[in-house]
Amino acid sequence: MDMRKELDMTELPKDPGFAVPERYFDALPTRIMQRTAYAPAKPALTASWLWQFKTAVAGAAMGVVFAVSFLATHYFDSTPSSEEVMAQVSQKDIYQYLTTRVELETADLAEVPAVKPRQSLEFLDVRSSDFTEEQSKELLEEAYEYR
Amino acid sequence: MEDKEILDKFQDPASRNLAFNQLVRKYQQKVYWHVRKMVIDHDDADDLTQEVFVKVWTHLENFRKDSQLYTWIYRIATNECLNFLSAKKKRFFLPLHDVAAELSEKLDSSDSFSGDEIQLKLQKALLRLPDKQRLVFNMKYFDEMKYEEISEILGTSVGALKASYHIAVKKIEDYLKKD
Repeated sequence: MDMRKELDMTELPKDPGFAVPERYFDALPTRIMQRTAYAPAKPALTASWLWQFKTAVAGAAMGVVFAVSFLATHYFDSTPSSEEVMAQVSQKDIYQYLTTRVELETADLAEVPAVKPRQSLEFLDVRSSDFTEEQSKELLEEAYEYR
Repeated sequence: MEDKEILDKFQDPASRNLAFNQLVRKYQQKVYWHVRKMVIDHDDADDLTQEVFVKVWTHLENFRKDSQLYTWIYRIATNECLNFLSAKKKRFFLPLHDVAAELSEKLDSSDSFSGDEIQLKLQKALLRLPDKQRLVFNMKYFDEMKYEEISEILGTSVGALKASYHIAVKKIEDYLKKD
């Protein structure tokens, strides 16, 4: 076939043209089997029952721990909030508590809702003249700010 | 013996050697010629063929039956060839062309090449292709494999294989026309 003419792949040989020694393929299996005798086959990658059991137990334990901690956080937390505790204490008890605590300022007592407005001055130990003076100062300051 | 029967018998230690012997007899020529077309030299092909079957023996128990046995064996053989050629280039710091020249010289001097002038020219033209392109050409042209089968072995898309084969044919045509 002249290669310089139009090339047609179908005209090219399908045989690559290599040769092998005589009876090569008759002897090859025996030679390979001799080599495999010294090459142990790797066992299949199957997990043992003990390993599977351990993995399953570890997974289940983690699940239980998670579930318990979740429930404890959301449902079993019995510690009441400070607002709930205070709601259960009567105003009378609060008043008694405050009056017996020496470290409290009289100004703190004025904040107690149980104390009537007229009693505030009594708690604060403020004279009426002081109160009037303070009020007039406040009025002056307000007048200065808006000027 | 069918592949399934070979695999089943291989699982039984009592019939393992017999089953593997059957496997070797069934696939030895396919593996050898696949390797030989890539490495050219008979001694290299002989070594690699034995190496392929030793690997098949070693890993056959872990063979997943989601692919066909011959596809799996071909894949091992292909990897062995590519690793061999890659190591050859690295060992001697040879560029691709020099490896091709070395293999081409082997073709001229080898007693085990019995082909005529056209077959020799075709082999020399093939040696100018990149290894993977030569693989695709060999599997499609000489082994007459389907693109789908080649795709499964090489892990390349059918479209890419068609393109690769087409380019290989054009290069061979150009080489043969010029020479």
